[in-house]
Parts: sequence; C-alpha cells; structure tokens
Amino acid sequence: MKPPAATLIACTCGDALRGCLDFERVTGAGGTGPALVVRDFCLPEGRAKAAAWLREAAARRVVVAACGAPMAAAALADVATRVGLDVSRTVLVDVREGCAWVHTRGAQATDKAIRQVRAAAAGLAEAVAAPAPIERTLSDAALIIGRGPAAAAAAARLQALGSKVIVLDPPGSGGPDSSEPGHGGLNAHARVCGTLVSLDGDAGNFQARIEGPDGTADLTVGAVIVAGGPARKAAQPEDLTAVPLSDLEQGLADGTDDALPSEQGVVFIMDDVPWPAVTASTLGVALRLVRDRQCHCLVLFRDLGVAGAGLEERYREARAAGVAFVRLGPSAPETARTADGRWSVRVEIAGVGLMTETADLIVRCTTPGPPDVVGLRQVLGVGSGAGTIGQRMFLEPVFTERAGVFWIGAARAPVTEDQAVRQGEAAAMAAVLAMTPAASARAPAVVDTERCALCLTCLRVCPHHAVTIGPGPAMQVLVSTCLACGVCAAACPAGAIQVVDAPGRRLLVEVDALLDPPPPAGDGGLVIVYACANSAMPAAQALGRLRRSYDERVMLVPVPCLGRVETIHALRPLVAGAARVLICGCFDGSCEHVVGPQRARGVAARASAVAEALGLDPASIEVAAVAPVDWHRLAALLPVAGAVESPGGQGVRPLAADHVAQGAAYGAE
Amino acid sequence: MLLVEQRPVVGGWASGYGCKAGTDCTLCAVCLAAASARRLNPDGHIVLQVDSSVTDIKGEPGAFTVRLLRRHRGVDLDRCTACGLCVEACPAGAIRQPHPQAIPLAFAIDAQQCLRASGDPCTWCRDVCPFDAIRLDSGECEESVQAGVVVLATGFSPFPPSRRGQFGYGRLHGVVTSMDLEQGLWERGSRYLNHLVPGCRRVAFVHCVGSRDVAIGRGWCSQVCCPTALRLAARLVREIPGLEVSLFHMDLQRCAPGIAGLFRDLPPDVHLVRGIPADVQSGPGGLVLTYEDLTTAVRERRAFDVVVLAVGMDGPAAISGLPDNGHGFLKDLPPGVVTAGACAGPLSIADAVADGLRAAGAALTLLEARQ
Repeated sequence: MKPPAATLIACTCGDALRGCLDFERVTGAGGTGPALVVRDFCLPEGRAKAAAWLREAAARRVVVAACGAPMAAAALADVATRVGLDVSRTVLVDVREGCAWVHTRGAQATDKAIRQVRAAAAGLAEAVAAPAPIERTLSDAALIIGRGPAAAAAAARLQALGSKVIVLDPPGSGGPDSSEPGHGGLNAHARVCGTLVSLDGDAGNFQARIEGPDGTADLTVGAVIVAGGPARKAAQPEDLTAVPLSDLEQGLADGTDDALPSEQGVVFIMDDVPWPAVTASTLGVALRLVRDRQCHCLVLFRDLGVAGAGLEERYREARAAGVAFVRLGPSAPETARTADGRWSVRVEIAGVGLMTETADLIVRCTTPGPPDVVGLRQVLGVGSGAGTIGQRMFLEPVFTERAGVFWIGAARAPVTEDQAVRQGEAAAMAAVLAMTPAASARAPAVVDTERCALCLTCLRVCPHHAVTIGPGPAMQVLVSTCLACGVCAAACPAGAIQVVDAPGRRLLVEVDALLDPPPPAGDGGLVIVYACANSAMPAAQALGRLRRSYDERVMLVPVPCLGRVETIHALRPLVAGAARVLICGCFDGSCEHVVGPQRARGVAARASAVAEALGLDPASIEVAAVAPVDWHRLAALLPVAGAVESPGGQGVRPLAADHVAQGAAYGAE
Repeated sequence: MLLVEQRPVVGGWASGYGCKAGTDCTLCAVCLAAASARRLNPDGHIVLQVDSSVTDIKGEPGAFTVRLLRRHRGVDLDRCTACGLCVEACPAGAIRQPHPQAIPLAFAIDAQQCLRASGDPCTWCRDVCPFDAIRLDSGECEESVQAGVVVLATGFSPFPPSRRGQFGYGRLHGVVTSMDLEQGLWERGSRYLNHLVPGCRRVAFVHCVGSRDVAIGRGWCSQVCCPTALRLAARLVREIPGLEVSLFHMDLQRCAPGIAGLFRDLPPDVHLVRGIPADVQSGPGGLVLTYEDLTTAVRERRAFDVVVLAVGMDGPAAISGLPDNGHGFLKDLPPGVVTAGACAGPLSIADAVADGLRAAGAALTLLEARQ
C-alpha cells in the first residue's frame, strides 16, 4: 500500500466547525494518513497538542485543515519550527472559506473540504525543496543619478545612515575633479562622470558600467537612485512670442541677465492644469519681478494649482504684493505684435468679455519637460507596463519594479522642493533597506540546470530583472531581486523554473486532485478560481469574514501573481469537468509584478481557443480584476451564498447590503 | 518597535476607503495602503498595541516617557480566533468585528452597548467562547513606555462639514461627505448610492468644502480632494448606468501623476462645472444647488439626488503639549520627535506611504546618532 502522502491535523475551531463538517469523513479522506482532530489549533494549548502528536507520528509532510485567520498560519509556522519541520513541507487549508462556515448543506461542505485536503496532500508531494541559504556580502554604496534637491536629500540621509554615496555626473559636466562648492549641494564619497550603460546583478550587489570621457568604469553598488537625468534638449518653443518660465526663473536665480524685464508689463499665461511645481515657480518669479524689478505682472490662468504646502499662502502674498490674477474664459488667449514693438494679448474673460492687455513680455508657464530618462529607463529596465507605460511606477512613489532601483524627484514628475526632499529621504531609507537584508537568503525560485536550454525566455519576461545567465550554462534567479511572481516559470518552454511557493506541477496536481472525483455538471459544477495573493485572496478572505460563504462550488487556488497561471492551468479544469475557470487578480497598473493581468488575458485567450476546438465552452474561462479591498466586486463574480437560509437558487446572488455594514450585521438572520 | 493605535485596528482612514477603479486602475493607492497593513509585523519585531491613546510625551531624545491610556476591548487579542460565536450569543448586539481585514483580526465588545454597562450580570459571550478569550472585567488602564525616538503618524481629521451649514450636512437627506461616500463604497460597493437615495440618478460633488477658505480659517488646499472626487465619479458612472455626475470646483489640482489623464478623458457622464455652490436647499426636484458658473458668469439652480461634499483635511486631534502650525498640523516638534504622513500637512495615500519610509530613516538617524 502506498504510504500516506501527508499527515492531517483538522481544527474544529471550538465546536464551530463541527456543525457543518463531518470530521470523520474529512480525516478519512484518501491521500492522508493518521489524523488528529483538535479544537483550538491556533492557541498555545492546541499548538502543544499538535506538536506532540506530530513528533510521535514522525510526520514528514503536514496538512492542517483550519480557517483562514492569520492566527492559524502563525500557529502552523510555530508548530513546524517546534518539530523541526521545514515550512515548505506543511500546508494550511482553509476549509472554512475565510471564516464563513455558513453552509447548511453539510454534506457538500464536507465534500469540498475533502477535495481541498486531498489536493493539498497531493500538492505537498510535489513541493520543491527550498534551495540552501546563500551567504552574501552586500555593497554599502548607493549610486545617485541627478543633482537636484531630491538627490541632495537622498545623499545626506544615506550618509547619516552610514552608507556611501557615489554621484554620477552627466558627461560634459566637468567630471570628478569638478571643484564647484559642494558639488551643487551634493556631498559624495566619490563622483563619476559619464553615462550609465548597464546595470547587472542583484539588489544590494549591482555591477554598474559607466562610460565616461576617460573610458569605461565598473562599479559595485548596492542601490541606484534616479533623481534626475541628462537634461532634455530645449525644444523650439511652439509659441515664438513667449519666453518659457524656466528661462526667466534661471535668469533671476543667476541674477546676471540684464535682459530681464524691469519696470515693464509682464503677462504670464498658465493655460493648462498646472503642476504645483509650475505654480510655485510662477508665483516666485512674479513676486520677484514685482518686488525687485518694479514690473507689472498679470497672471492669466484657468486652474490655479495651489496643491501642496504653503502655495495658497504664497498666492495670497503675491496678490497682496500687486500681482494681478485673471481667470481665462473658454477660448485661448491670442497674442500679437503691436506697432511699437510690444505685445498685445487678447483674452476672453468670463462675464466680462474680451479684454486686451499690452505687455512687454509674455511668459508661458508650461510644464517643464522631464529629464531625458527614456534611455535610462531602458538601461535599468524599469517603468514598463501594459498599455500605460510606467503606471505601476506612478502608483508607488520611490519604488520601481526592480528591487534596489529607486525613482524620485524630477525624474518622476515635476515636484516642488518640499516633495523632492521627502522623496529623496524616503529613497535613501529604501536604499539602506535594500543594502541590508538578512545575512543569508534563499532564492525564491530554482532553475533546473539539466532542463534549462538557455533560450533566454525568462530573461525577456521577468518584470523584475531577477534572472541572469550563469555561473554555469544555465539561467539563475537572483536572490534578493526575485519577488517570486512566477512569470518566468509560466513562460519557460522547458518547465525548468520552479517557484518554490507555487511550482507549476504542484498547481496542476492540486487542481487535478480538486476535480477528482469528477464534479457534477450543470449548476453544481465547480468553479476554479486562480486568486492573486495580492488582491483576490485578501478580498475572498474578507468576504468570508463577513460570513458571505463563497459556496461549496468555488475552489480557490492561490497564486502569487496572475502571471503564474499557464494555459494548461486554465484548460485542465474544464477538461476535468469544472464548470468555470476564473483567473482573478489585480488591475493593470496596480499589479506589483506589472505584467500579471496582461499575461492572464493572453493565457485565457489561448486556453479559450483550445477549449473551443475541444468542444468546450470558451466563455467559461474568464479573467477579472478586483482590488484587495473590494470584496463586492468579487462577490459579483462568484456564486456567493446570500444567507444560511437562502433558497437554493443558483448563479450570482448579490450581497444583501445590510449584511455587510462593517460586519455588524453578522448573525442577524 | 511599539506601534500604538487608538482605534481597534491599524491602517488609519485609508483602511475604510473603497477601490476607485472603474474599468482601469486610477492610482488611488487604497490597495497600496492595504498591502502595507497586510505586510505589517512579518517577523514579530513590531509590537502592536491597539485601543490605546497617547496622553503625554515627556523627556528628551533617547529617553522619552510616553504615557498611554489603554482601553480594554473585552477580548483577549492573543486568544480570539475571530470565530464569531460570541457575536451570535450576544443579546445586545454589542460585539463586532471591527473590519473584515482588520489587523489584528479580533472582535471587540462595545462597552456602552454591552448589557453589563447597565448592571446586567450577562456573561453569555464568555460562556459560549470556546477559547476563553472574553475578558469582561475590563476598563481603562494607564501605562507608560520608554522610547528613544517617537514617530507621530496621527493622520488628519476630516473637516467637520457642519461648519459650512449652508450645504445642509446632517440636515438634508442625501448630503454626504466624500469620506461617507468612501466608507459607503467600502461597505456596500456602488449600491451605496441607491441605498442612500433610492433611484439616485444625479450626483453633485462640491469641491473645497473646508479647504482654501480663509473665512473659516482654512486657507490651505488639501490637495487630495480633487483627484478623489474625480476617481469616485469615474467609478460611480462606470458601475451605475444612467448616472450623471457634476463636479462643482474652483480650480482642478494636478497633484498626482496620472491624474491629468482623468481630467482629459472624463467619462461622458461626468461634467466639470466651475463654481462652488452658494448653498444646498431642499426643493421640489431634490436637492437644489445655487451656483454661479464662472465660465459663463451665469447664476443657475440645478437639482440633484445626492450631494457629496469633498471635505478637506484638518490637522489631527491634538496630543497635549505638541506644537502645531496654528491649524492643527504638527510643526516644529521637539528634537527626537518625527512626523510621518498627513499629521504634518495634507498628503495623498501614496505620498503618505513614502513619507513613512522617510520617517523611518529620520528615526533611525536619530537612534544611530545616540549610539
């Protein structure tokens, strides 16, 4: 007889689960050997009982059937440590649907629990051993690109925290010997002049190659902070009648330009919804011109952007100092040269009509172009995204999709000085964290060197730049850059990459076991839900904690990212008799791994095409997006039991609104 | 590292906000806040102390004494498995799950609603709890802790809309704040609007309620209300067919990357109206707004079913003895005390998350300087 795949511990959660699950049947489920039933697995008493029993049973693989509360996961980790069992040899099965045990149909609930327990046991047999921890030495130097206030703030904070700072000066800026006082406000241990041409290696231990006027330099750095970039070449101004705001600001800052207006009329045109940084510059320049140069300033605006610290006060200050502000009407202002060489500006003002103002100088308050960071993005491989370029990078300030690479200040968007300093200091802290992880770390994914054909697919698809070639003739996953999303494993044609937490074969074996024996067809058919650990899983758990059972037909299969799901995962359940496959995770733009939803749509399209060819319903493979806080949207996607006594109607039953009010209504029925 | 929170759960206001994605993500960062909370306490180095208020901070860098007032919630956090049996047993409905994604995940007994508050000897919850997690003889206790550095992340207070009485908040049915709408979306999804006013088809957002208004002592722009109103409008029109949303604004604020895209590609059912209404009155067709359209300089009256007041941010509830900028936001704090997030000035969720990192760096710098 085959030895049992795993040992089972089932928790009755006091007596709460006894009423809806038949524990005799659950513990007798095939695939598991002897079983222990405890009533309080997550409490100290239950943990002690479980540990003692596991020791006695000399368990090598353990399945715990309990609830979805975080306490249960903590208890399992604790028990595993006590009996010296690797956590990867244990698995927690949530047989309570995120704490919603509202089935009255006890037999079906038990059937579901049995399927879940057997799938977990089968999956455990396919668990991939975590690779041995690697001892690492990390660099304590951060490379800063840019020299604005964000860069200066980052450098200062890095040094205060005991890290080294290397500043990359753009080529042609004078180079390392530049003796300008304070290097433009940046204090650095070393300065390098040139262009970053490549960045290889792992977060905490990057190899940066810099091409400079004196040849190529290779540096080892722990983190890279991009706070600016080479200045974009000044484009020919569209409107030749107007001066760009930045020119005037620079001239005022230098204090050298005699061509600056004095005792003249200056009209500022702010025709767009301005960034706070643009308003700040406009207000600053107008105030200076009024106060120091006795100019007459008129600011024509549509939206006065005063978001941010103190801008509203600045605006009132400017108004008090004599700067005039006039809101533009719907049409754009027209400018024309007058006979005496000045300018006339025709504007439409709401409620007043057309007004003509004469000016000596017209200033266009347009958003300054961002530094030319497109090349830098490509070198660093960040800011990619499905359709909307770099969206994910814009969701989370400071971080990029590549661990150890941070993106701040003017490189992100026009920022005020206050914002720049905040981001700089935050990036410094993030960089220090990237440079001081645990002394040893395990790779979250392993490459089978026998199978790897060096086709470089993983290199191409990895959203985090966490795959590299070598040391031998095989790919390798970088320990601290890899976030274990599994996109490479899903894409690898040789199946050579296994994410330790979600190996592809294990996923498949689990799904097979969930569907064995074949489920009834029709309305009772099973729904396999591949649920993203960042979004759909938390939403499902919340649904459960609000006592909204997601039904015995719904089988949640957690995946680290939708990018982990392969075509076979979408197809196999349908072939095995499931009614629907739902691939449910983040939105484009909120996916931590950038490409997850996009890849899932591709997988669903391919799987649907095959399903059609096989005579199955192609529409039964779906992809959907939910936020972790939006269980309502998830509830609309799943067959959710409305209430314990609800008639056995099928399909989507909307949540009874009164039941969700802050969890208060639980038990009202 | 001790994390003190006065509410029963960590996460602040953002933990009660709803996702604002219509078809696409609008970068509201609510999920970012949720992820930060989920990732809290991964290795046990952080001690969470909820239900506790800071009453006093004394001392100097390296040796602060922080006095805390701890309210017992009637449930032992180490033993409550959130099984929910006590909720079923409670005859007064006084036991609640604070939040389905609460951290820590444990129930709480509302001491006011509990029958024992009126002298009843009820112990039903304790009798039914299989895990001996109910502590009925609880109250408040004072304690004090020592700390080298204090990080204040006390957040903001929403502007009390009753201070702008002309909008009828609390007086007219159908007038809610943007915070109420967020909370409603979180609790009920987009069905909230229909729950509030059945058959709701016309929604007005009034911007700058309690922001940019020197007359009520709030001269600052709260900078999160414009993007929030736009995102909320985008989600509502996407999920409720036939809904028309008008945004009554003064100036649109472009203060988040990606938000300009929302201005440009407004859904056809969302209308921007320049001009803040003078008042809201109950009329024959619903809630009637009187306003001057600044673009056409025409005074108009229009009826709506629901009026959402986009309330600004006020400073946090004061902790005694700490200086503020005169408007409640913390400023010029003594050495060794660091702020994080919106308690020092209005910030978006995403910026507040980043500001937490900044504060961590500042605190660490201070600690290292002492060693």
